[in-house]
Amino acid sequence: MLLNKSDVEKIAHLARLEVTEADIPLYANNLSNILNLVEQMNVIDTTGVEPMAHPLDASQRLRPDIITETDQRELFQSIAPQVEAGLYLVPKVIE
Amino acid sequence: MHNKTIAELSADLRAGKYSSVELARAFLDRIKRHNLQLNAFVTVTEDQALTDARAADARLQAGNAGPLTGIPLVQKDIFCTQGVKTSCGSKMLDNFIAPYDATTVARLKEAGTVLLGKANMDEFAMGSSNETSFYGPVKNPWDTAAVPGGSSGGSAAAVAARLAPVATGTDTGGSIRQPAALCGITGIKPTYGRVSRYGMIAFASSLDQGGPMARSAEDCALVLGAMAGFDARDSTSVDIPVPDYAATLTIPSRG
Repeated sequence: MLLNKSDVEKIAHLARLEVTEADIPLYANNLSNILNLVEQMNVIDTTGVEPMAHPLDASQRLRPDIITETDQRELFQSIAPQVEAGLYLVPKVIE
Repeated sequence: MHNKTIAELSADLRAGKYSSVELARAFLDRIKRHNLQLNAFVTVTEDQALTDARAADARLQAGNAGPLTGIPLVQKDIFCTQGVKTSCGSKMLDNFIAPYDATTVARLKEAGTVLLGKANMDEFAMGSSNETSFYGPVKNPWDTAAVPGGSSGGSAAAVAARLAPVATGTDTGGSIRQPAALCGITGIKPTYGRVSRYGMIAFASSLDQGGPMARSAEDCALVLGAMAGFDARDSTSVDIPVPDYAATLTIPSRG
């Protein structure tokens, strides 16, 4: 598929990009190359090819249902601008 | 100094040609001179760098240094760094001092690397030009009128301008590979599951991967070796042995 000058101008307008007149042939050529690559890939017959979910055949790992994290509230609240009685204070957003 | 590979720097440090503190100072000096123009850093951690470097020198002296001991690096500001601002390029996290280290950060710390600072990036990694950061756009060192790419644009610009030998990046849909290409350096998006996402601010959890950005495949291999590996704190981390990436460099890439 070949993009012409007006295609490039339209794409540039939609992307709100300023493209100089002299650069238009370059962009037309580069963008056409991308579309040509897609066409090239479309030619390949992929029937019967199983989609690859993970290159390392990993599956979801489960962990024992035991407590691993301890209370670190003081540490986490030490960087908060304002706290009171263990709670974060935030600016009032609803009147 | 700033044009040497990681392997060369490591050999020089072992040979005592210069200390890790001297190496850190050399890079900190370059950052001071060039970052104003490039805006590749959100935070420069000078004190931390010198502390890390002194510890690295002690390890080098004691003879228990690894290949990355004393090597300065930049962390993308998406990785939580204990005690250091972790903004993710956003005003929302401008006052967030991470209370813990991301696994990747902890691993690179254990390897003895020296933290120079945190790299600028597109806000929450959502961009491909590094123009969306709250801290302003990053410039491409090759042409400051051009973008460095993104979202790991600060990392790419820092390495390209030799403000650090290596930087970390993260890639969801090209955020390591594209800025690496635009800045003329090497970056790897590792296979999903290789590098722990623990402490790495999420964009799209089923696609995000952290990886190294450096000047060569060799440098990336050395750093990826330290970043990769199983982490129980990341539910999609894969528990398979990490190959010796540096040893595979001589195998031709054709299959």
